[in-house]
Order: sequence, then structure tokens, then C-alpha cells
Amino acid sequence: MTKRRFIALVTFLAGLYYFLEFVVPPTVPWRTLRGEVVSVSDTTLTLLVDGAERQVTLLPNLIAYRERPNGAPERVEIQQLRPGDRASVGPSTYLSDYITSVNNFFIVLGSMAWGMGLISLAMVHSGNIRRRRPEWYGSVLFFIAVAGGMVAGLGYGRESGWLKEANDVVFNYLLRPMSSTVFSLLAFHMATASYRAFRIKSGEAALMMASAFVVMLGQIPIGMWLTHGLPSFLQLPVMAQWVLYIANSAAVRGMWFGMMVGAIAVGLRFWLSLERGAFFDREL
Amino acid sequence: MAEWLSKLQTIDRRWIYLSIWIACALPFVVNIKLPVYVSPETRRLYDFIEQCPPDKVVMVDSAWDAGSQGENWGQVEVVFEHLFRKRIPFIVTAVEVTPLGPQFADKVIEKLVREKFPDRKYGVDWVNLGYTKGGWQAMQQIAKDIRQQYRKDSRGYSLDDAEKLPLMQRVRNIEDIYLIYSVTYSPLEDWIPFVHGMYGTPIAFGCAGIQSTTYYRYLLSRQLVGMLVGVRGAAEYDALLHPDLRDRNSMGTKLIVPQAFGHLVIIVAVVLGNVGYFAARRRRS
Repeated sequence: MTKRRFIALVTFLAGLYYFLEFVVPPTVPWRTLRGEVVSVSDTTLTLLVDGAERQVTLLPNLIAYRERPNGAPERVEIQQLRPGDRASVGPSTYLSDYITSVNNFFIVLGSMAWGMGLISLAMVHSGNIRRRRPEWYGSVLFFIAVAGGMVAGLGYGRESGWLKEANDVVFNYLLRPMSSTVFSLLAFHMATASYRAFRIKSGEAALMMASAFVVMLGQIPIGMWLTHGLPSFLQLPVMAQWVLYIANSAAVRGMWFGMMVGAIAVGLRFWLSLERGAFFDREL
Repeated sequence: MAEWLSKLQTIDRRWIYLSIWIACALPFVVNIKLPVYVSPETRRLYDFIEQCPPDKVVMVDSAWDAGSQGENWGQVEVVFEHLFRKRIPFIVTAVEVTPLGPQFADKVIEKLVREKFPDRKYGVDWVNLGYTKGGWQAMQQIAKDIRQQYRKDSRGYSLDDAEKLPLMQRVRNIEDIYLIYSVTYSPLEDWIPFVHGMYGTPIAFGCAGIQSTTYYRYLLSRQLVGMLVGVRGAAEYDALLHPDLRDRNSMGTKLIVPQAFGHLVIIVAVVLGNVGYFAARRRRS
């Protein structure tokens, strides 16, 4: 119970930080000055605000944002401001000061997932070998592949030497052809799947097939060759563009709007640890 | 007749496998080049890169590997060629998706330098920053201060090493980047809210054909300046780089031919299946 509450608390605090960092301005709004920089000294900053010069005493909690040409703010040290810059200066609300550290923390946390994945695989495969489960020799191959991959990975970026050779062998002559082969099998499966499944059993199916043919032919040079003599709006590439830009975008926007509303609800449930099912109900 | 036609819906799948294999392999045996129709999304990216000012750099998020190299290799190859030709410096990285991305980008660049641009130098004309994890957090940090996310490049040189990486001495944050071109099987949409939305930096995608349907809406809203769609996009971009068909030799131009034949096989197979279906239905009625 304690562990579950602890996880719920940490999840809530992490989400709360990002939520507040997003909605709370980086400087206290009623004490923030926005204008053109006139001069900067070691102790004061002079800004031209609404036609009047305003002096700001440089206190430790003061932070400055320079406006980029496109209007986006860029956090800078006050001494980096130059006369003529557009800037806003005010006391920090502190939340944004820690965004880099918090981001780094989550990047490191995400990177740990790779290591955990490796540990988990190692535990499963070492168990297979110890208990001599069926096809346990596949697990031995796993360890050989991981060790070989790690050694070969050290050769990336080297100009010469046996590590570079090892990298070339693993990367160019094993990984590339094997990954490409597995992925290219999709072409064969897609062809047979569409042959077996795509039947015009209704008006909707006919419409779907017509649009599929238009898009497929419009994507390849043969579509242009077949219809190049027709008026431009009847040429297959132009019709395919219409389907993709107009009909498809309308449908995708509708779907994504619904999905994102759902994602907000799911996000809230995760944030507040209200999610049930899978391991959320289990005692840790 | 109807009985014979109805058999068309039960063709052995091995015949379809064989047809696809021949359709895809034939163009590698017989040298064929096909002219292409250049779509607006490809032309927009090309035109945008043409207008790059001399003091800016382009960032290429090359996060693809062998699984999708059929589509993504050609997409980075043509853009790298364009950048080399225009002398626009570029930074290569791979955010989140696959750690093999920068290594594949290196392969493409090596080939271009060896065959077409032997005078281009690492550190001056391009820099490879390697892989970074972190998704949108990493994107935010690249935008704020690139050195917060990368201390060294993929070869181990410090980003502050002015001798090895002179290019990086004029790149501080998103303000120095003209365009982010993200190429992967399915590019991360986080580039749009966390970089384009916050800083206004133009974004372009290179994606697998099958994934492209979800990104067209960003072209309409101008949140993407352009997009290369699958092999077709790469072939179209090559056509813009080389108006004469005989000069085109990129991966996109080569692979559009097997793709064209493959599409034809699928269309013929679907048509035959439906002829068989209707013949069987007529027989039953």
C-alpha cells in the first residue's frame, strides 16, 4: 500500500510540475517590464516602456527574456542584452528555472528503460539456458549477439582498426540485410491480404476501392502516363492529391480530435492514479 | 465460363508472391527510369530549401534504420544532395526513435561525398551529433540551447572545439536553425507543438508512404513546410534536382520503378479477386 501511494504521489507531483510550468508565467506578471533595452550596466537596466524610460535594479532573482524576431522568447543573462533588443524583465517565479534539470531527469529515466529491457531479456534467456528449456541454444545466441553488438558498437565513428571492421560486419553485413528482409516481407503479405480481403460487398466498399485505386495509381508514374492526355483535374496524380489533401485530411482531423479528447481523459486518469486494470489494481 | 472465373478468387497465394517478386526484381535487372509527377508537398520543401539564407543551418533528424531504408534512404539522400549543392551547412541527429539513425545518415553522406561532392568537409559543411533520447524534452532543450542536449558530436569532438567543428561555433539554439527536417518511418509530431508552435521554426517531414495520410493535415495548416512521401517523394525531389531524366540516379528514382510494378500487381490481384467473387455470386444466384 505504501509503495502504491508513493508512486501515486510521485506521479502527481511530476505531472503537477509540468502543468504549472506550462500555465504559470516565468516572471511575476505584475512586476514584469516589457520594452526596448536602452542601456545595461552592472547594477541597473534601462528599458523604454510605452515611451518612458524605466530603470530596473538588478536583483539576484531577476530574469530576462529577449524577444526573437519571430516573437518567441529566449532566456538570456541580463548582461547579454544589447541596446535595441526587445526584452521582458521581472522577478522569477522559479518554476521555469528547473525545467532543464527536470527534463534531464526524465531523459535519464527514459534511457534507463533500455538498460532495464536488457536486464529483463538477460534474466529470461539465462533462465532458459539454466533449465535447458526447448531451443535453449537460441538463448545462447542471444548473449553472443548482444556481446558482439556491444563490441561492434564501439567501432562506430572510428577511422580504422579491428573495431571499425567489426562495426562494418555487424552493421552492414548482418543488421542491414536482416532488418530489410524482415520488413520487405510486408510487401508480399500486403499483396495477398488485399487480394483475399478486398471484396466489393457494399457501396462503401466500392467507394473505398475506387479511392484506393486512384491513390495507388496516382502515387506511381504509370498513373500519370495513363491519364496525361486528359484535362488536369481528371489526371490520376491530381485526383490522388485531392483525395489525400481534402477527403483524407477531413477524416483524419475528425479522428484525431476524438482521439486527443480521449487522450486528455486518459492522461488525467494516469496523472491522478485513477487508472484501473492491468497492474494498477495490484498491490506492489 | 462463370465457373472458371469464380476460381479467380482462390488463386494460390504463392502465385501472388511470385508476381510481386518478379515485379520488384525486374527493374533491378532491366535499367528503367520513369518520369514522375511532382506533388505540391515535395515542391514546397524544395522551394523552401532554395530560399535558405547564407547564415542559417538545417537540422536533419535522421531517425531511421534498415527496416525503412527503402523509403527513408532516398528521402535524406536527395535533401543532403540539395544542401551540399547549395552549400547550406547541416546538422544530423536522431531524436528518440532509433540509435542507428545517425549511422545510416553517415552512410548516405559518405556516398554523396565520394561520388559527387569530394570537397565537402566534416565539421564545416555538416556535423553529426549522434543519437539522443528524450522525445519532446530533448526537442525543447535543442531549441533553448543545443549544448544542453549535446556536449560532443558522434565522433567524440566537443561542440566547443572550434578547430574540428567550426560549423558548431555559430549554432547556439533554434534561432540559428532555418529548418528541421525529420525523416523516419513515422516522424514524431512533437516537433510541431514543441518547436514550431513555441519558436516558429519551420518543420518538414520525410515519412513512409503508409504513414503520410496522418500528416497531410499539417501541410494544409502550414505547420509543415513540406513533406517527402515514401519512395515517391524521394523520386520527385530527385526530379527537381535533375530535370533531365538521364541524370537521376538517387535511391528514390531507382525504387519508384519496383514500387510502380508492385502497385500494378496488387491492383490486378484485387481486380481478379473481385471478378472471381462476382462470378461465384452469379453462379449461386
